[in-house]
Amino acid sequence: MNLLVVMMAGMMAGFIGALMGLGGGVVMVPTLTAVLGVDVKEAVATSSLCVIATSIAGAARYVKQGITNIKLALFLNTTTVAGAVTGALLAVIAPRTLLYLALSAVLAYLSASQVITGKREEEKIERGEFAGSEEDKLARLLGLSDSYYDAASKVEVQYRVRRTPLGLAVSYLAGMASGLLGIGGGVLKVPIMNQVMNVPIKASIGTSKFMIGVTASASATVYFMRGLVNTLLAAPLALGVILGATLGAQIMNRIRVKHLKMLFGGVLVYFSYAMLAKFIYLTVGVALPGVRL
Amino acid sequence: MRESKPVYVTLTAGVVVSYTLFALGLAAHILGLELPMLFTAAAITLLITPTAAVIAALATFLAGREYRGALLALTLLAIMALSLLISSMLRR
Repeated sequence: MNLLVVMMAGMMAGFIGALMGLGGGVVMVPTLTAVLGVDVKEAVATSSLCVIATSIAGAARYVKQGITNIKLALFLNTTTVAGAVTGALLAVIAPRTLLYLALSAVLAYLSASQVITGKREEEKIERGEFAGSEEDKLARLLGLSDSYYDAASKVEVQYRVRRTPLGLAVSYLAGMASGLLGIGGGVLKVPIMNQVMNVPIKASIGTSKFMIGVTASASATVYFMRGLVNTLLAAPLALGVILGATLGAQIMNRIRVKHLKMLFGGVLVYFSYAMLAKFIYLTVGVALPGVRL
Repeated sequence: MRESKPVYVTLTAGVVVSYTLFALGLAAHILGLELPMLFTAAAITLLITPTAAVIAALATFLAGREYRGALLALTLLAIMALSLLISSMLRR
């Protein structure tokens, strides 16, 4: 096995994951299966352990920079974890075909929305509008609103968390989608916080990074206990992931919000395409390129 | 936020320990020595670090008498334990 290729794949996954608040499995699993010929079960299990590595390496930097909203992460994770268990339970009986199509449409909408609101979010930061919104009762009761220093705009960004019950419900659905369809949670958690709960994109990414490790540790523990994790494969992958995630987390806060949202929109387009490809494959049997089916 | 420092220390310790163990294990493998316990220890470190970070946040919330945060951390830990129990029961 080419250790250097595995390490490079890990670095790329860690870098993208830290920059976008994602787990990085979307890079790791195809590289392991398509490039290195690793069995898909082993690749998913090993990648789930390395998702924890991207999460803790990225989250450590974001917590230090004060970007992560720890209380919000704990709060939303309660329903995300419960949703993931429900999804895993429903996976046996639920018809997944239409869910792929629905999720593809939702991700396409979220992608367009991220790109369109990029400039608007920068203006909101400049005018202090994230702090001007009225926080809801639950957010006030739990003290969920927070602030962070935006290194690109050089301003302290205060924000008030809104629509907490809706955010909690959507987090449950995101967890369920993750348990049902095997997609990472970050791709849904970041837009939920950003577009539903009035949390700026950078704080959403930093908070999502912390959340991912908690949810991934539950599934990775099960894989590990069943002996599905290849630790010899995990070693170079995790080493690369930690380096990449540390680097990605170091530069994320220096990137302009509109560029970050454009990048995130691009990632969502890919996920939307991947979900659509799975729907097409399951309904008409045609395999579209660039997606692990 | 007061809870940030212990959480940061816990996460960083997890990163440093797992990285060191994985690097030592890999170096040994390249030199022809097989030390699988190093990889296992590194994997276990990764697995427990996120939960340890939540426990660190819980301890700091309690120490600072920030009971709302402590309640959130405690609820999450309970749900995580329950989900792990359900998953392991169903996969038997």
